[in-house]
Amino acid sequence: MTPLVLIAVFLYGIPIALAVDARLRGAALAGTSFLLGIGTIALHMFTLSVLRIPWTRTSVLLALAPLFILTTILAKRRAWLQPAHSREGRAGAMPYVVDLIVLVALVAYAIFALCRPPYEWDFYGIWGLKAKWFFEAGGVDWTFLRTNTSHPDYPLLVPLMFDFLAVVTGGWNDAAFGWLYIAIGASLIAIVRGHAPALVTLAAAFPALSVWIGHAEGAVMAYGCAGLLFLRAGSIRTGAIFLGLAAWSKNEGLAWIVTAALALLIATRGIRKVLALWPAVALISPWLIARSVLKLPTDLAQGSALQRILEHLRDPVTTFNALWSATPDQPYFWLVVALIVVLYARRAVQREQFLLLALLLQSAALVVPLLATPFDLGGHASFALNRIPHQLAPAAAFLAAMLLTRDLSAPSPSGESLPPPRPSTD
Amino acid sequence: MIRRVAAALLFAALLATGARLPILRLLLPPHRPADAPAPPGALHRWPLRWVNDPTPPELVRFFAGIRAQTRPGERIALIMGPPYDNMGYTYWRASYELTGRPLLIPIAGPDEADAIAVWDKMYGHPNFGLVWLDGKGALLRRKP
Repeated sequence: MTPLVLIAVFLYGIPIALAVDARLRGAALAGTSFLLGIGTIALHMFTLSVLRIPWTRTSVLLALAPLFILTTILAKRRAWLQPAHSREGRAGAMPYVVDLIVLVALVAYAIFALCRPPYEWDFYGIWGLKAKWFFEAGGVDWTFLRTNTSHPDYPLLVPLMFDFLAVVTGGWNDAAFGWLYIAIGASLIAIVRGHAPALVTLAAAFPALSVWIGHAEGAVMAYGCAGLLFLRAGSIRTGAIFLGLAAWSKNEGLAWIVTAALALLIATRGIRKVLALWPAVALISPWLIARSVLKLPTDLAQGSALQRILEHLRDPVTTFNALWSATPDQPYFWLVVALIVVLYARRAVQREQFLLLALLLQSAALVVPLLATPFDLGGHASFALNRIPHQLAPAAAFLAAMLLTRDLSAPSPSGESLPPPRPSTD
Repeated sequence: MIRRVAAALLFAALLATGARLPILRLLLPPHRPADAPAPPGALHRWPLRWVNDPTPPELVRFFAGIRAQTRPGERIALIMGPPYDNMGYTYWRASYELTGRPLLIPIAGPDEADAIAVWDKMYGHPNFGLVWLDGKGALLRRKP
């Protein structure tokens, strides 16, 4: 049942994706459709709760209808005005062989995602707990949100995705949530494929498949990286919407909006494109307002965060040692990415300046808040830095592979060797 | 030519270091991770789905029993014997299994509770009476 619901989500997302960008086609359209579809649905669930309308299969599906009708009309109208664009490379049989390898990786990941229920700490303590509580309450339980001790400030997109599946399938079945992670990972891979040659997609495939089933890492990674790829390609509106949904997935997504804006500002040397990111801010605003009204506390901001940061900075050796000993998962992957960026530094600055800057700034944004931790820095960093860098991994793999593609393959007229991206307002 | 070879080597390194062989291995039978006990306290830097469920089946059944014996809205205190007697993994697992019933944090004590779920521990409270007993588990409810 869950796969059928996710296929319906994909179909629901097609007119939304085309209304946002009528030029989308092929893999990019497929990936965008699912991610925008499930994101939009989760926001509808939130809106129903704000309006105090209980979640039932009927109320949820009826709530989704107006946007579907509106975007279908809008997408049809825009389709007449906009030429289609697809950046997928199709030279010869090679891309299809590479795509097949990516598909095999996805099948293996599907087995991994479905082999066991999501019995991670954070699923029971945060994402699954909130979702199950809300499902049983028939909507977001604002009292529980205020009174529970499980990171009340974390945004609700992922719990609401679980809730949608539970409401529509008619019961709570956490063992089936793996399907959601498969769909999210596959969507990000499709978006990468829509922006790059097959070899680049192959490099980004495994990094795009989150091993943290039941966490929000997969969602913030997919929305954040998709946002960066669209911004890099000049689709500012689509990129901004994805960044807004990244902020709805995890607090790191908020930083992603800021770092992407800074990277755009530096890369384009203008404010116009930065201002065009307004949909990201508009999307996340309702949650920020709710957080403020409900006074939901953030553990990193407890007491004097600034004082804790200063204390850690006053003891740089201990702080450095704590951070250095907290190796990320797949450390050699990150070393190879860093090596490629250093070796191809000129090309990175000339052709991939935006993506490079965005990744560097976001990397810093992931580490700096750790200095404000009210817990033991070493212990906190050990768990956080193992997992959180995954959020950047697909975009980092994309960047590294793009820097190599020029030397790997001769330019072909079909698009396998792409011109440098030029961020522009759509 | 040298540039091409170097790029190919770097690309191969990127693929090799980014790939996850344990996941690819799942393509072969038995299509599931090997049986491996969960680490103590379920403290693991890697996803727990690579190891067995850290919560024993009898504990899961106990939580299901407590859920069946209590009503939504009832505040429950959880009192467990070691190694579950802290605000660790099992506390959160219990929170998840008992959604709708606020689970008091272990240090709060049972004074605020409507019911006390006891696991693998001798426990009594003058204001609470035994209402359900199953193996190592019991449920006490506040006396009227």
